[in-house]
Amino acid sequence: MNCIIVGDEKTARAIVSKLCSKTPKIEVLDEFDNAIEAIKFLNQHHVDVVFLDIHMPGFSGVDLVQTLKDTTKIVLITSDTNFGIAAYEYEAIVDYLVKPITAERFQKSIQKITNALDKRSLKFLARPMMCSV
Amino acid sequence: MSHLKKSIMDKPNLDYIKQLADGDTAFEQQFITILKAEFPKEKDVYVKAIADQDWYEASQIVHKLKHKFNILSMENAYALAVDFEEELKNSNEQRNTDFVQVLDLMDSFIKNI
Repeated sequence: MNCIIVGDEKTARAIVSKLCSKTPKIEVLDEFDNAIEAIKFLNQHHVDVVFLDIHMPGFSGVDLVQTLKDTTKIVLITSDTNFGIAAYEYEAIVDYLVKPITAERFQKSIQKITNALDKRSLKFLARPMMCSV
Repeated sequence: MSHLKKSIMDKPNLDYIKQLADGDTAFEQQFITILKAEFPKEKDVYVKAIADQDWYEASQIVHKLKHKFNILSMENAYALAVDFEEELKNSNEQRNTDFVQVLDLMDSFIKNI
């Protein structure tokens, strides 16, 4: 699977990038320090997962979530320990990680993403086929 | 004991970064470089926001700084920041002096790593 990392804090992006590098099945395509640049990229590339810092100035992480295609999954990253309930308001959001992220917690998130992407594939296979006569 | 007293007793360390790096010294150094570059800018934003009495902007940057306290295992400073962020949203900057002391502690640590 591939991913992008979006957040205005370079330290936070570096941490996620390092955690991804320890995970063989995920490739980081790019990093963005703002949501607008991320959307431009997402409009031109297929991305499986967005690691998204929800708390960004201007066009926020929530705004970005609302613009995403159904096929892209999102893992929110936050400093707020009491963020849990709001995190699952959108179907695309598969997990949320509280900073500072540990390697163990990150691996659990990768498992959740894998499961969500598997479900997405099954939905695709189960869709009604259009036949031309 | 107040948040401030506890926060000043925090001993910043690189345990989290070392654990994350897992022996990758290049990453460790790269991360410290980022921290050295990013923290002073955020501190300046905070100082300016307080000087401008822009409490919303101050709360936003305190939110961001919280993460760095966590990275450096400054648990009490994190607790102080959680409360102070909310207070700033209500235009209450009474803990500014306390918070600046914590920032100075962190500044001193970061300059010496």
